[in-house]
Amino acid sequence: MRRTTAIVLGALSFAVQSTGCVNAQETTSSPPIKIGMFAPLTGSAAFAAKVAYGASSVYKDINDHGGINGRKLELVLEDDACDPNKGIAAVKKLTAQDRVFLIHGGWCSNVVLAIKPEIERDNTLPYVVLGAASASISTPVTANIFQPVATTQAVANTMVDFALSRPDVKKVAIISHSDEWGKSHLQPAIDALKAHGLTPVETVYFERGSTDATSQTLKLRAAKPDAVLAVLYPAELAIYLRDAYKYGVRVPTIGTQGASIEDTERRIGIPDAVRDLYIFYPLSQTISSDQFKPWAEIFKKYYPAEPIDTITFIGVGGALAIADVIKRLGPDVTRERFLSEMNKLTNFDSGVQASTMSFSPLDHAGIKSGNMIHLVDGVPTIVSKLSTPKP
Amino acid sequence: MSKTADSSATGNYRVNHLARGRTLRGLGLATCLALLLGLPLLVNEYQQFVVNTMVIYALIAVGFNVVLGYLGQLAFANAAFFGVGAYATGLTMVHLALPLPLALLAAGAAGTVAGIAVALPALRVQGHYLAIFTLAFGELMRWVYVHADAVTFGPSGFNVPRPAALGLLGSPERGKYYLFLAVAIIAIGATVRLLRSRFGRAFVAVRNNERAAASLGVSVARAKIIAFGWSGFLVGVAGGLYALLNGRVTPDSFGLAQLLLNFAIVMIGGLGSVLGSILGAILLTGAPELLRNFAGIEEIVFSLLLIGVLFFMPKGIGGLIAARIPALREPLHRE
Repeated sequence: MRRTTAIVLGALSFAVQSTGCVNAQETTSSPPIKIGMFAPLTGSAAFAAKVAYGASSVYKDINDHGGINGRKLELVLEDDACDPNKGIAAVKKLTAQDRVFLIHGGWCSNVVLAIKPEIERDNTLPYVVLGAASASISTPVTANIFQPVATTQAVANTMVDFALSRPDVKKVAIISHSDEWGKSHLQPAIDALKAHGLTPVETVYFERGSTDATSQTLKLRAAKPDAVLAVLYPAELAIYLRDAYKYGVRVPTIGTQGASIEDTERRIGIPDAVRDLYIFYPLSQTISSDQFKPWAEIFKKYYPAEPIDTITFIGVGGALAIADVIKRLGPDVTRERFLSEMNKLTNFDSGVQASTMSFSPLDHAGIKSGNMIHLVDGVPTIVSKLSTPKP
Repeated sequence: MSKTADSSATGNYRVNHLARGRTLRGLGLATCLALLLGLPLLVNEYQQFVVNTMVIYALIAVGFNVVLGYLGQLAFANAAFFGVGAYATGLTMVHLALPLPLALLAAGAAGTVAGIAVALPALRVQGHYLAIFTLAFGELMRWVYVHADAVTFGPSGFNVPRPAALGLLGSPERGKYYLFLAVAIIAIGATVRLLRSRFGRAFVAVRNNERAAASLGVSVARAKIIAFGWSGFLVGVAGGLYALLNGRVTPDSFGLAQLLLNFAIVMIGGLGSVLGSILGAILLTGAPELLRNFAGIEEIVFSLLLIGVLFFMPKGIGGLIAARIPALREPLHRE
C-alpha cells in the first residue's frame, strides 16, 4: 500500500514538474480555462477514444495539483464518431455553445480536414490536433492549427528508412487502405522509396472493414518482397498478418502508428504471426518500462477500467505542450498570446513522445520522427534496425 | 325516408369533418411555417447546424420513402444518390465554377440519372436481388469516388466553395438554413403533389400488386422509372445541400453507415408517410445530438430509443399519427 502510494505520488510529482504547473500560492478562484476536445467515442474508430482519455488524464492530473497559475482546466469532451458531419457539429458546439478557449481534438484525419475550414474561419481559435496524422492538416500552414503528432509524411519516411536499414532489402511491397489515411501514407512512402532509387514491387489495397486478405496476401507473396509496409488499421493489420502467416509470407512487416504491437498480438493470438512485425512507435519508451510507469499510473488513476495501450499516450504530448504554453502565459491568458507562444515552442520535450516538438510560424507539424517497436522474446522493445527474419 | 336522412346526415358529417381537417391542416401548416421562419432567432450556430442537418435528412427520407414506402421496392441505392448529388454539386462548383443554383440543379440531374440507372434493372429483378444490386451500385459509386482521383480528389475528398451570399444574413448557417428550407419545402411540396396524382396512385398500385396494377392498365415500368428518378432527384438535391452544409465532400460520408441511417429514418418515420419521414429525420438526427451528454452510453441509449419506437409504434411515427390524428392521415399511407 505504502509502495503504491509512493509510486502514485512520484508519478504525479513527475507529471506536474514536467508541465511546470504547481503553484499552490496562487488563488484558484479564477475562472477555469475551457478546453474543448473531440474524438471518436463511438462508431468504427471508437478504439481511439483512449487517445482522448490519455490527454484528459493529463488535464485531470494538473487540476488535482492546483491547476495552472491557479486556474483549473475544464475539459469538454465531444464525440465525432469519426464522421465529418458529427465532427463539424462537435466543433460548432464547442465554439458556439460551450465557448471553449481552445480545442484539442481529432483522431480521424477525414474529420479534421472537414473541420479545417471552420477553424480557419475563426482564426483566433487555437486548435491543437489530438492524434490525426494526415500531413494535409498542417501543410500548408494555417495560423491557428498545430499538429503535435507525427504526420503521415513523417511516419512513412521513418517506415521506409527503417525497412532499408538492412542493406539486403531491395524489394519493398505495400499493402494499404485506400482511404484518406491510407493514401496520405502511401504517396510519401512511394516518394521516399523513389528517393532511394526504388519503386514498390507490389502495391495492393485492403479495404477497411474487410475480413479476409487472401487475395492481397497471395499477390504480395508472388512479388517476393524483402519487406512489406502495412498501412492498415488495427483490425485489418491483424487480418493481414494472420493470412500472411497462413500463406507463408515470412518477411518483415512494418506498420504505422495507427496500430499498436500489444494490441495486434492480442488480436491474432499466434505469437509466430507477429514475429517479424515492426511498428512505428511514437513514444519515448515502451509502456511497460520503468521510465514510462508514472504516465501509466496517472492514466490508471483516472481511467482504471481502460486497458493501457500505445495509442493511449498519443495525445499526451499535445496536452503537455498546451499546459506548458498556458503556464508561460501567466495570468494573462488570451488566444492571441497562446498562438504566439505556440509558435515559439522549440524542442519541447514532453518526456512521452519519441522526439521533441517544435513549432514556428512557418511550420506547424511539430514532430518529425519516431521510434520502431518490435517483440523481442515476446517483450515489446524499441529497435533501431530491421533484423533478418529467423527461419 | 329515415335511410335518406341518415345518409344525408352522414354526408354532412363527412363534409364538415373534411372541412375541419383542411382548416386544421392549414392552421398547422401556417403555424409550422411561422415557427420555421423564426427559428434562427432562437438558436445558436451549433443548434442551427443541427437543424440544417435535420432539413437535409427530411428531404433524404422523403426521397427514400418514394421508392421504399410508396413504390414498395427493396432498393438501397439511397446513399449512392446522396453521394452522387454531393459530388455533382461540389465538383461542378470546383471544376466548372458553377453558381450555387446551377450546381444544385446539377445535383438533382445527376441524382435523377442515377435513379433511372437503378430503375432499369429494377424492371427485371425484385426483392432481395434488387436489394443486393442496389447495395452493389452504392459500393461501385464509392469506389469511383476513391479511385477517380483526377476528378473526385480521391479518398481525401475536397472542400466545397462557400458562396458569399450565404453570409448575408449575419451567419452562414442562417443563410444555409433559409436556402435549405426553401428547397425542402418546394421539393417536399412537389412530392406530395406527385404522390396525390395518378403517378402516386400508380406507385401504390405497383406496391400492392404489380400484376394486378398491370392488368388495370398501369404501366409498371413507367411507374418504376418515375419513382426511382424522382427519388434520385430529391436525394441528389439533398446531397448537394449536404456538400454545402459541411463544406467538404469525402467518400466516407456515403457508405453503409449512411444508408443504415437513412433506412432507420424511413422505418421509424413510417413507410409511405411524408410527415412520418420528416419527423423520423428530426428524431434520428436530433437524438444523437441530445445524447451527447450521455458520454459513453449514447449508443446504448440511442439503440434503446430505436427499439422502443419500433416496439410501441410498429408502423412508425406515420402510423401513430394516422391512428391518433385523423386530420393528418395521409391518403396513401402504407397500413
